[in-house]
Amino acid sequence: MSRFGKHQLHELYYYLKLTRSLEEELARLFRAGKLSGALPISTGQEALSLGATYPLRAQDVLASAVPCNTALLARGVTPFEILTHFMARRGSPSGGRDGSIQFCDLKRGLVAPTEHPAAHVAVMAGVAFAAKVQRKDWVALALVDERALATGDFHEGLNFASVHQLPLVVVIEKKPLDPAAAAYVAPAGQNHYERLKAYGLPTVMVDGNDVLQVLQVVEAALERARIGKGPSVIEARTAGRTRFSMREDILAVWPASAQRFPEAGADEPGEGQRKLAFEDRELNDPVDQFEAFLIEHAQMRPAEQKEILARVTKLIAEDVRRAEEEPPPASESPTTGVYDRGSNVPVRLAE
Amino acid sequence: MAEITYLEAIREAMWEEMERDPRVLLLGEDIGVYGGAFKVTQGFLERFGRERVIDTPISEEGFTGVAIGAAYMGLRPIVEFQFIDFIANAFNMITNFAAKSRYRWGVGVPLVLRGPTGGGVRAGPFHSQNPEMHFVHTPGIKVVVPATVHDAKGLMKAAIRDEDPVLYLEHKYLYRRIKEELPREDFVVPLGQAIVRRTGSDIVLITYGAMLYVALEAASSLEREGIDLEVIDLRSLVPLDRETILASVRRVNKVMILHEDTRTGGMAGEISALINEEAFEDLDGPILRITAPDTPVPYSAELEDAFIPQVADVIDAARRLAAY
Amino acid sequence: MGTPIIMPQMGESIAEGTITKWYKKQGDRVERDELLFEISTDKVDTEIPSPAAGVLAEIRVGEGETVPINTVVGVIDGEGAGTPSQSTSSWTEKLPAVSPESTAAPKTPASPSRQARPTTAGGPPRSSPLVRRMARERNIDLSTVEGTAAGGRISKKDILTVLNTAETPTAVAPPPREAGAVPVETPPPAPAPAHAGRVHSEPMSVMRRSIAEHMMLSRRTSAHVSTVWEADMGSVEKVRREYGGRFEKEEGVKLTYMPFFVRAVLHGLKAYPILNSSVDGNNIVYKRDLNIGIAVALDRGLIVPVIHRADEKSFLGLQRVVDDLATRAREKKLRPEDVQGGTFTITNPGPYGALFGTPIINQPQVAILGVGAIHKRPVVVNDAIAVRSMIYLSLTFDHRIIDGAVADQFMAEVRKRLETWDERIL
Repeated sequence: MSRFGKHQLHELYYYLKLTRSLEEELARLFRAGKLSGALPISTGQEALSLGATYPLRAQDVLASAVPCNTALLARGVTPFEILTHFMARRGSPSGGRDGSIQFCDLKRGLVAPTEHPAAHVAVMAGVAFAAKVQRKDWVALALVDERALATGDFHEGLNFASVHQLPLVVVIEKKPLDPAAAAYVAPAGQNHYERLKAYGLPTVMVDGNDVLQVLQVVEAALERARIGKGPSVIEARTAGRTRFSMREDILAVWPASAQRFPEAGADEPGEGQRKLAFEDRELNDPVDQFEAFLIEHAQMRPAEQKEILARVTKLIAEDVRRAEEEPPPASESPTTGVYDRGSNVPVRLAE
Repeated sequence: MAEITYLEAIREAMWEEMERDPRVLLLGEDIGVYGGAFKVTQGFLERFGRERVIDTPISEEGFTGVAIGAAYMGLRPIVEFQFIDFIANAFNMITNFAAKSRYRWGVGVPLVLRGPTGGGVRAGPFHSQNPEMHFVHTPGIKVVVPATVHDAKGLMKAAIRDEDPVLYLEHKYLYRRIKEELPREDFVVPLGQAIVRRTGSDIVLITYGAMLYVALEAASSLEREGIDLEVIDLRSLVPLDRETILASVRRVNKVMILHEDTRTGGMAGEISALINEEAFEDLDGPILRITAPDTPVPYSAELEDAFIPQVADVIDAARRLAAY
Repeated sequence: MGTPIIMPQMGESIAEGTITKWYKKQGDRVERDELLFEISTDKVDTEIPSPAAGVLAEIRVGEGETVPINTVVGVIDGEGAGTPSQSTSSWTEKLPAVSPESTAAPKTPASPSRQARPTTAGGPPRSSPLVRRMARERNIDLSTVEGTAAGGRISKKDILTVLNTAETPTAVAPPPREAGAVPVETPPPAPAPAHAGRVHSEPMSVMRRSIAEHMMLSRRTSAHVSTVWEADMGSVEKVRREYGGRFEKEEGVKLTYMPFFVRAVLHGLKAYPILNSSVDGNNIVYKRDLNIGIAVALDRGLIVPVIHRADEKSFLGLQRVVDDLATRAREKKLRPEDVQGGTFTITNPGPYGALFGTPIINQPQVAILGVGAIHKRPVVVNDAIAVRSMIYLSLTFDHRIIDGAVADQFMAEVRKRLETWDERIL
C-alpha cells in the first residue's frame, strides 16, 4: 500500500471505471447493430490490462492480443477513438480500415497484433532488439493469452529474445473460467510459468485480478529489462472467461436490462449499479474488487469517488455522442495507402 | 574497373548501403559466422559486427517478425532466407503483419526480404522454387526480380531505400554465371521500371529473372528465320510497369510471356489479363504463355530440364504465333 | 422520417436472427435504450434496446419470423428520428443482407457455347482484334482482303499490304453502331488518295467520320433503288399564298413547305406501312410510331432531327417542331433523343437548284424521300401548255423488302395529297 500514492490509486480507479463505462456503451452499440464486427470488451481482464500498462514509460511499446481497452485508455487513447474504431467510422485511428483489438501508433508506443495469438511476440522481440542495437532504453511488452503457447511464433520470438537477452516482457493471461482451456496446451493444468523456466528466463505467477499486484510485478520486470538483464515472463490468472471471437457469450454476463451507469450528481454513485455475474465464480469482478479495496482501506472518500465517476460519465457521454455523429469512411478511399508512394491498384478497364 | 558477378553485385549493394546507413542490418541463418550458404554475406560479420549481422535460429517466422519489429523502431533490416523456398514458413508474418501494416495504420515497414530463387541447379523441390506469386498477390509487398548484374545491384539499393517491404528474388543460377562491369558511382534501378532488352517488330516476349537469357537466345535464333522478337525484362513484378508492356504491345501486336514459375495463377496470366483489358484491339493473335508446368520442381536433370522452359520451347511458340 | 429498427448482427458469422418477442405493440411509446424486442440467433439470444425515443410506428417482422441481419424489422417515429443513430441505421440498411436466398446468384441457363470456327462459309473472315480495329478505322472491307496467315486468317501484315498498295478498297464495312445522327446525301468516300502532286491532308472531324461510316454502312446494308416523281405544287402554293400571311401573324411562325411534305408522307405511310419498317434478320419490323426525320444541312455536315409521332401533331404543331428542330440543330442544342428513333426520313436536295437526288437510306429505315427545288415549268394540262410550279420527288427504298410497285403506290399517294391539298392549316 505504502508505495502507491492516493493520486495513483484514484487514477487506476478512474481507468477501470472509464473502461467499464465505455464497454457498457460498446455492448449497447453492439446490440443496436452499430459495431462493425465482434463485441470488443474486456470484462474480467481490466486489472491485468491496466496493471501491465500503467508502469510503462512513454518510450515503452505495448502489443496486446488480450482485449485491452483499459490499457489503451491508460496509454492516452480516447474513448472517442476506441468507439469510432469499433464502429468503423471515418474519424477512427485507422479510418475504418482495421478492427483489431489494439491500435498501432508508434508515437504512443502501440503496436497492433494481427488476429493471431502470438505473431506479435516475435515482432515485439524485434522492437526490443531495436532498443538494444540502437542503445535505447525502451522495453517491449507483449500480452498474450495462454493459447499463444501452442504457436510457433510465441516460442520463436521468446527464443530469439532469450538468445539476445532483449528487453522484452511477456505477460500470459490464464483464464480459469474459460471452459475450453483444457484443449489448448498440454499437459492440462500445468502452470505456464513453470514450463517456460526452460528458456532460462525469470518467470512468475500473479493474480491477474489484482491490479496492484500485476502493476508491481510488471514494473519490476520492466526495470530488469531496462538495465539489460533480458526478457521475463509473467503468468496472470484473470476473471476473463471468453475469447474475443466469442464475445457474444458475454451478453449473458451483461443483461441489457441492467441499469445504466448512474448520472453525475446521483446521491449514491455505486448504488443500483448492476453486479456482473461473477458471484458464482471463483474469481471476482476486478473492478468491484479494487473499489472495495479502496473503500476498505480508506483510500477513497465518497466525495472523491463521486468526483471520479462524474468525470467518467461526462467524458463517455460526450465521446459517445461524437462517435455516433461520425460518418462512415468515404467509399472511394480504400485503394490508397497500400504503399508509401504510388499505387498498384489495377487501372480500370479502358474506355 | 573489373567485372563482377551477379552475387558480388548483391553483396556490394548491401555492403555499400550498410556503410552509408547505420540503420541497415542483416538477419538470417548462418549469414555471419559462415558467411551465408552461398557466401553472399562473407566478410560482413567482421566488418559490421554481431549487432548488424545476426545469425538467427532456424525460425523464419520468428526472425521475420523480429525484423518487422526492428523496422517499426527505426532500423532497416535485410532478411535472408537461405533458400527462398523457406519463406513459406514466414508467410503469415509477411502477408499479415508486414504487408497490411501501412494500410491498417499508416505505419510502414521498411524491410527487404531476399533469398535465392529458381531452379536449373539440380536442387530439387525445396531448393528451387519460384514463390513470387504468393506475394505479388498480396497488396502491400513489392516484388523485384533482377536478371542482370547491374540490376542486381541497382534494385537491391532501391529496395533497401524503399519505405515498404520488398521481396528481392535473386536467381541462384545467375549467382556466378554472369559478369558485368558496373559504373563506379552510386546508382539505383527504380522499382517498377521494366526495360526493353531487345527491340523487334513481330512478337513481344515479356519475361523476368533468369528466363531473360532463354528469351535472348531464342530471339537470336529466331532472327535467322526472319522472326523479329522484342524482349521486355520486367525487373519488378510489383509495382508492374504497365506502360512499358502496353507500349510494346501496341506497336508489335503479338505477345508471348515467359517465366520459370508454374503456369496456373502465374505472372503470365496476370499480364495477359492486363493486355486483354487495356490493349485488346491491338492484338493480332492470342497471347501465349511459356511457363513451367503445374508441378513441383523435380530433382533429376532430365526432369528439371523438362520442367524449366527451354530455348526450343520459346522458338516453337514464336513460330506458331508468327504464322498465326 | 422514422428511425428504422434493424436486426443487429450478433457476431461476425451471424447471418440471420429470429424475433422471439416484441415487448412493445405497434403504437406504443418507447424510450431510447428501453427494451424493445428479443432475438434468437445461432450464437446468442438477447434483448435489443430501442435505437430511439418515440412511437413504435410499425412492426415489419413479427414474432417467430427469421430475417437476415440488417433487415428493417420495425420503425420508430418521433423525436429520435433524424438523430445520428437514425443515419447510422440508414447506411447499414444499404448493406446486402446475408442470407442463403439473397446470396444465391440468379441462375441463368448457360447458353450453348458458340465455338463455331470462323472459317465457316459465309461468316466473317478470320482476323484479329487489331485487324478489325484497323479495318474500321481505315474503312477497309475485310471481305475484300486476302488472309495469308494460318488458316487463311487476315493478319496485321495482310491489312498493311492493302494499305501500302493504296488501292481503292471496293467497299467499307464498319460494324454497326448505334446511330446518333445519321446524315444523308453525302457522296461515298473518295478513292484512297495516291498523294500525287500538291495535296493537303487533314483528319476528318468526328461528325465527318460518323457520316462516312454510316453512309457506307447503309450502302452495304440496303438494296438501294430510287424512283423519281413529278408533282404539281399549285394547290400547296395556293394555300401558302392565301393563308401564309395570316398563319405567320396569328401563329408567329413562318409557313414553309416542309409541313406539307410531312403531312403527305404520313398519309402515304399509313396506306403503305412497309415504308415505315425495318429489317431485323429475317423479320420485317413494322413501326407503329411515325417518327419523321428531317435532314438539316450544317456547316460541317448533316444531322437528322426527328419529329416523334408526327401523325399525332396538328399542322401548326408540325410547323413549330420543324422550326424548333432546325434551329436547335444549327445551334448544336439537340438532345440525344431528338436525333433518335426516326422511322422515315425526308431530305431536301433542292436549295441550290438541284432537280432531284438519289438519297441514301438512313439506317435502319427502309426509305427516304428527297424533295427537289420547285420550279415553274411548262406542263401539258388538258392538252394545253400551262405554267405550273413543279417539283421532283425522289424516293430511295430498300428493295430487299419493298418492291417497285409498292414504292410507286406510296409515291402516288404522296403526290395525290400534295396536288389536291384539301386540309385546313389554321
